[in-house]
Amino acid sequence: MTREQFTSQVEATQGALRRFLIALCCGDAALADDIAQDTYVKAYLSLDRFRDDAGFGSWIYRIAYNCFVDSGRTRREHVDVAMAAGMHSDELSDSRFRYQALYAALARLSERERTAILLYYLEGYSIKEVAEIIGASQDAVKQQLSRGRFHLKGMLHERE
Amino acid sequence: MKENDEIKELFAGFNPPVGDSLNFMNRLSRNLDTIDLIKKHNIAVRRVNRLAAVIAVIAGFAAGVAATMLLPVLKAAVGTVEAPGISFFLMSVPDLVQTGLWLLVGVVSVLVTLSAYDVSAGLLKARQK
Repeated sequence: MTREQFTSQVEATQGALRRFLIALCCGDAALADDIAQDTYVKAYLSLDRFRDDAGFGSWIYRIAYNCFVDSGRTRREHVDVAMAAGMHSDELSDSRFRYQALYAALARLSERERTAILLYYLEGYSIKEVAEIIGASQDAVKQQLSRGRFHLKGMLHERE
Repeated sequence: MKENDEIKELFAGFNPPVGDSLNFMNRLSRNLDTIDLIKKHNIAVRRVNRLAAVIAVIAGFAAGVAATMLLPVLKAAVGTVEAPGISFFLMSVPDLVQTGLWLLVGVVSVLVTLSAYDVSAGLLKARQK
C-alpha cells in the first residue's frame, strides 16, 4: 500500500474511529484524538505487514484497541464533570452534556466490556470480528457482552 | 432480545462531534512526513554500509592475494636471518615459519578489510552530504 492509498483509507475511517475512541475514552475527545494519531502512525509503520485491503477497518481497530490499552496509565477512568467547565465550544459542551450519562455508565465497565460493547453495538462488528480485534476467544467476547449489557442497563436505569 | 434492542437504541443516536478533520489529517500528515524522512535516511545508511562492506571485502581479498604471492619472498627473507639463537629456533620448528607467514597474510587481510571499510564508509557518507 502506498502512502496515498493509506491516506485515503485514513480519510475514510478516521471519523468512525475517532467517534469509537471518544466513547471508549468516556468523552475525552483530546485523548481519543491522541490515541487515533498513535493508531494511524503505528499502522503506517506496520504497512509492510498488512496484506488484506478489505480488512483495513478491523486491522485499524485492533491497533487502536492496543493503543488504548497502552495509554491506560494516563487515562482518566471517570467522567470529569469539572472538565466541562473548561469547554470553549458550545457544540462540545452540549454533546458532553447529552452523552454524560452514557459516558459515566461506560466508564464503570471494564476496558474489555466497554470495548466489546462498543465494537459490537456502535461499530457493528460480529462476535468473531470483535474477538479478533481484542485478541480473545468468541466465548469470552459473548461473556463480556453479556456482562457489559447487564451493567450498562442497570446503571442507565438507576439514573432514570 | 429486548435487552439487545435497548442497548442498540442507546447507541443508535450516538454521534458526538469529533473535531476538525482537517486539523487531524494535517497533524497526521506531519507525523507521516517525519516517518518517511527517517525511513529514507535509514535506507541511505544501509546502502552506504552495504557498499562499504563490498569494497572492504574486495580490498581485503586483494591484500590477501598480494600477501600470498609475496610468501616465497618473505620466507626467503626469514631464511637469511643471521642471529644464531633465532635461526636455530626457526629451523628446528619447520612448520613455524610457514604458519607464522600464513598468520601474517591473515592479519594483513583483516587489517586491510577493516581499514577499507572505515575509509570507504566515511567517504561515501561525506559524498552523500
